[in-house]
Amino acid sequence: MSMEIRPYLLHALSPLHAGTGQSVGIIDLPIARLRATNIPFVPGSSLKGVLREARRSLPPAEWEALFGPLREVSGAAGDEAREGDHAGALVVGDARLVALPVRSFLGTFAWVSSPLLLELARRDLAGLDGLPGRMKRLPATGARVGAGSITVSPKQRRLLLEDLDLDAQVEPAVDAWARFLSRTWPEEEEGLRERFAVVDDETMSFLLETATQVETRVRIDPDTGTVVQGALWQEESLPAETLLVGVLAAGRSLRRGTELSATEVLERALKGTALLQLGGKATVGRGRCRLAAWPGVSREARP
Amino acid sequence: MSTAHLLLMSLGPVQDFIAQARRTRDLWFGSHVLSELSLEAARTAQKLQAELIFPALVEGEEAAPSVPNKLLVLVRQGDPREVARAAREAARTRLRDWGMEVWYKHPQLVDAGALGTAQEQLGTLLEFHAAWCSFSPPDEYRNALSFVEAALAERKRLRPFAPWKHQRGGRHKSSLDGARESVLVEGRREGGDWSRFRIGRREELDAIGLLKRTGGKPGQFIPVPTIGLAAYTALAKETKAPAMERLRRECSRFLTPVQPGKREWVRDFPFDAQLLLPGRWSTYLEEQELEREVAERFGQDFVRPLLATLGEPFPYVACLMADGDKMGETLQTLASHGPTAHQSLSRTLSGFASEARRIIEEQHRGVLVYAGGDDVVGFVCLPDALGCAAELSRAFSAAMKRGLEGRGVKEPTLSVGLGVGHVLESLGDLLDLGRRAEQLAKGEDRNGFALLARLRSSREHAWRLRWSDGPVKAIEDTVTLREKGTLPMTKVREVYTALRRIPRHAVSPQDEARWRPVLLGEVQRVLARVEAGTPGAGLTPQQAGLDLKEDGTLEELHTQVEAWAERVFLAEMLSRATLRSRGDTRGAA
Amino acid sequence: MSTTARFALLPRDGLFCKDGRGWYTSDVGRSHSHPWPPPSTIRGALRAAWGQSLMARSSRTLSPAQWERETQDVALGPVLALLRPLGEDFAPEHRMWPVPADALAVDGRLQRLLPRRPTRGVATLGTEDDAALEALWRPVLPPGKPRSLQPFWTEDALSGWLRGETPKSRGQSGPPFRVDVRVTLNIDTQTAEPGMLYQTPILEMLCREPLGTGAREWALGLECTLPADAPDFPGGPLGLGGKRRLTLAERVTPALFAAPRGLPERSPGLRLILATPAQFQRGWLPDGLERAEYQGDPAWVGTLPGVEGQVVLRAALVNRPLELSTWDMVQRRARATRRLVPAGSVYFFERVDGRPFTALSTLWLAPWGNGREEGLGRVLPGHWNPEEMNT
Repeated sequence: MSMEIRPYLLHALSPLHAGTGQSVGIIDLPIARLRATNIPFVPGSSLKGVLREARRSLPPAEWEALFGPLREVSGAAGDEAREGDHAGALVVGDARLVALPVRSFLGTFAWVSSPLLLELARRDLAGLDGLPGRMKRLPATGARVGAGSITVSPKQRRLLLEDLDLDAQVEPAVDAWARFLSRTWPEEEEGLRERFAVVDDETMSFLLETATQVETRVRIDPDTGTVVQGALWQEESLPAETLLVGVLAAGRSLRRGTELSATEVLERALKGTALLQLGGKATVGRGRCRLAAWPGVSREARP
Repeated sequence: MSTAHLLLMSLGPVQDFIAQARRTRDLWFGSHVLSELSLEAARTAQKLQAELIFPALVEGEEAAPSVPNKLLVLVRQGDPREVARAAREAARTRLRDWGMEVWYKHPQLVDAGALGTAQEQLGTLLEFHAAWCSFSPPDEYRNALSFVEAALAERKRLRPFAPWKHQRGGRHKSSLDGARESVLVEGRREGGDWSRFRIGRREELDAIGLLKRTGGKPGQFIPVPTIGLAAYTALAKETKAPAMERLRRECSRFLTPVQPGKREWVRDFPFDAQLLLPGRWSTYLEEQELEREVAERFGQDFVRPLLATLGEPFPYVACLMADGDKMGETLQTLASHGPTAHQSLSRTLSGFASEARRIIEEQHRGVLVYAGGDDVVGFVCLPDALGCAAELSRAFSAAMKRGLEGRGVKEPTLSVGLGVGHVLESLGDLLDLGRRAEQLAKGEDRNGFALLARLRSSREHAWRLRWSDGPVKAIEDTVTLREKGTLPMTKVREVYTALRRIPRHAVSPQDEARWRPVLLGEVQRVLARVEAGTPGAGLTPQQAGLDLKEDGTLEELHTQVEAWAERVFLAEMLSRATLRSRGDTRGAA
Repeated sequence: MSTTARFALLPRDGLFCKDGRGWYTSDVGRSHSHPWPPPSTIRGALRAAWGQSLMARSSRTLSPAQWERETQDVALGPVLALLRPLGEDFAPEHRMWPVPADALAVDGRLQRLLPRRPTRGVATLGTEDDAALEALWRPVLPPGKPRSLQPFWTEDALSGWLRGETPKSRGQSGPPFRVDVRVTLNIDTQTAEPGMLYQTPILEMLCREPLGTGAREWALGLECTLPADAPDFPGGPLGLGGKRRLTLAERVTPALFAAPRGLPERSPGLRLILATPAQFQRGWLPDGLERAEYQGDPAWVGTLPGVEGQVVLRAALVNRPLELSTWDMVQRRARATRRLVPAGSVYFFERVDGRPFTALSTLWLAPWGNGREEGLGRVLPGHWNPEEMNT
């Protein structure tokens, strides 16, 4: 086996702005999205940086084996190859959206996913116990919910999301997905099962563009306490409760003198549930999230 | 009737070569090198008694700023092969000598062991193709021209190349082209030519890159940020003269000013204006080997006060690209009048090229990169860009009218594209935006104007209208609408969102009948609503600058509303580029 | 005991194949990427994966020198571009091919470029004096302004093209690019380092077009030779291209690499299209050909691998070279730049003895030139009738 792989769930506990980076003078701050499908994602590189800080308690040699050595000098001057440089054993893949919380007329909000999002997640999760089968594409505009959904009126069988009015049918696979995802919760979680809904990919792609949080923000001049002229931008975030799925992968430690197998690397990276702070917006209460792996043994290598 | 030979020559590479630029001077000097090589080839042909048809070489003040890379000459006596060969060798020798001249002039920069590599790089850059045939002027001119043009195009389908023989291996590649080995010396890079030519710590240059970077004099080239921020610095000079003067004096202490030449507007701030961008002055000054603390203090003491009273500049610039429409057809039709008709048009085109330089650099705040005939490339500051584009189009039409009078040929028009990007974007990418804008401007029916902007890392906005439909007025009206504050951006975004929910193509007539009124209704509803904090009542589509064609098909309506939304986004960008007084936050919503 | 493995690589997080320009190409740190991963990048990833699996099996850490030695026999065979609807198994109909250089779009219509003897009345000269070069046959260009073509053709379009048929579709655009922006953090202050901003173009493998028909994904199909028996290889994800972006592997069958049905066996002339970039000793000119006189004109005559008899090069449609600058992981330094003939280039040959070419299908994806272990120089054999334009 070349590298071992372990999927994780990233659960936003507060609005999450995983941006394409605040570039010089770029006015608006959209979240990172895949270009062709508009699926929001959190770049693995951002997560890796956060994880690196969160695992400072590891013995320094192991820490370096996992994440690779730090540069001694920052900036272009430090960007030189050095003796003893080695790649970190841990590779962090992007976390892709699997379910987006959308305001619902009933049950306050629904966790909305689509066959495409679930199919992409299935790949990352392959080999895990209890992984539901493929979710068939919905033939037309509409929704599928679990048996006990609180987001659908029992009589009319309709899911009312923001201003979308969707015909909803009960489908056992939706329940199966909710149960499967909720296994990463620290405790038994009913909320996900009650609110999980799958809509057709077209409707999802509409929600991907319209159901994120967009706020207009201003920059305050520290000297004058007034709004800096022209420093006015729109910032987009994934709302709290957004769920994303990603993978961690690892090979053997490449650090001389630090013998760690791939499994050991992954165990150190994923010690239980971790609360992480993504992005530098801690002061405004943004970017808090939970990163968790599925409990149970590490899975077999895939064919 | 005597026979002669018609000889067509082309020199390259052009587009890739020019786009391979990191600093402004790489771009300008690269373009200048190409023009000089063409000039060398043209002069050599003239010396061998060949007669130039394209381009016309006019001497003195009226000379076109650039010599195009395609030369059409008439060889009345002698062997056309010898003319072509001599032209080729003259261009090649000129490049080689030039490259070696800067090599020996900057021993601090170059690795003496890389001489062979450098010579090979200089010797293999030039691409040359020529085709010729004999004909009897003037009657057979038209046919001869189409023969040599076809032969040259066919010949270019094979671009032979050989592997490099003089690589040393283990060297970084040029930061400009990514393929040729760096010829810079390894080790510490401090002071002298390193900072004079702004060669960064991790930057690498091959022999061609070295020529582009060091061939001109520092200060000879106007940095792109200085163009992009020209309206800002002009306003600063006008309204905050003492602060600007202090900044200017401070800059003169450690920076070489750029030379304005005939570009009066450069005098407002003859330095790289990225110094005015927060987050950039320290990087820039550290490159000039100032201590970080000194750089920070410079910002705090000299730039911050200016930004605090004037606001931050809008750091975008327009790359202007223009190209004559259907020039091929015009030339073909004109060819039946013989070579003299072409020679006369050729002089008209050279005249237009010099006029283009004046329009861009003297009448507007811009800098010309290239103008050889109907092909114009330059950079213009955003508030001047629309006017500059329109003026070029007018000047071209007028020139063509004069030049083609009495020939019975339909006068060609000029399509102009403006590609807008961040002033610190790589020059290759800015040129690419300009090129795409030009293609959009041309469209299927030519005579167009297009504006294409990349404001964030991913989102682009684009809009096109033919010159005959008044694009400048349409945009300016929209800017006025935005500045009056009656059309909030929220509405535009809402219309945009509504569009996303309505299919563009109907699957059946019933479907069409169902969706058309929905689209019309949504647009009208959103615009008519009265917003809190917005002056006046709601708007009709017409008042919002959207002349809805209510009898259009669903697809036409879709396209129309989309184009309107793009126009408003772009107008919003232009109004942000136009300076407002401090504290005014219109356009926030 | 070496074995052959076949699998498809599915880049999970997109792909980044930086070209030789480095990070410092502009003040905003924009790097540049190859539009499609060069085979050498893929081989690099396979070698790394092989080294990883050796380390996992033996529970030891390889030194760079051991790594170099133990993985040098990992050889890459043909590499295919694949595009499939999400969820389907890979099959030959998902193969995508580089657009051949003998195709041209004028007035919205695709046309074949057929070579013709140079016209006597018009002479040409190139960058170097080379009579053999000027004597090559040239494609006849239809009047009108050529439009640029999409970079990929479907299996259907290409197999028809090899037979001499013109496809209706203008082709398939490549995978989309997005630009990721990253800032470098100063470790001490945890703030963005001024001027250290990186923009990375990422090739995305997932696409949705036309809208509503679900998603399709791009992948790389490859055949490789491994130095030892390894039935499970790679058994896990690989790191491919810059920043070791994760790539999943999926086993595929040999049928994915087989020649399409209906490929002509015989042809009066031979048309070879490069499916992958090629490395020849003399640059654009294929190996095995020497300058000679043929039918009274200077020409290149010689033999081709896998082709019987002597051949003469009639025409070549080759664009500017693909310049490949790679990084030596062991020596930690850049390698010399190689100039490769770009994929899609086309060469036309006739047999010196005037007889037709037979057994064209044996040339299907056959290797040509140097760098075979890197997947370079794989060819596609096509039909050509030299008389079509020259009688």
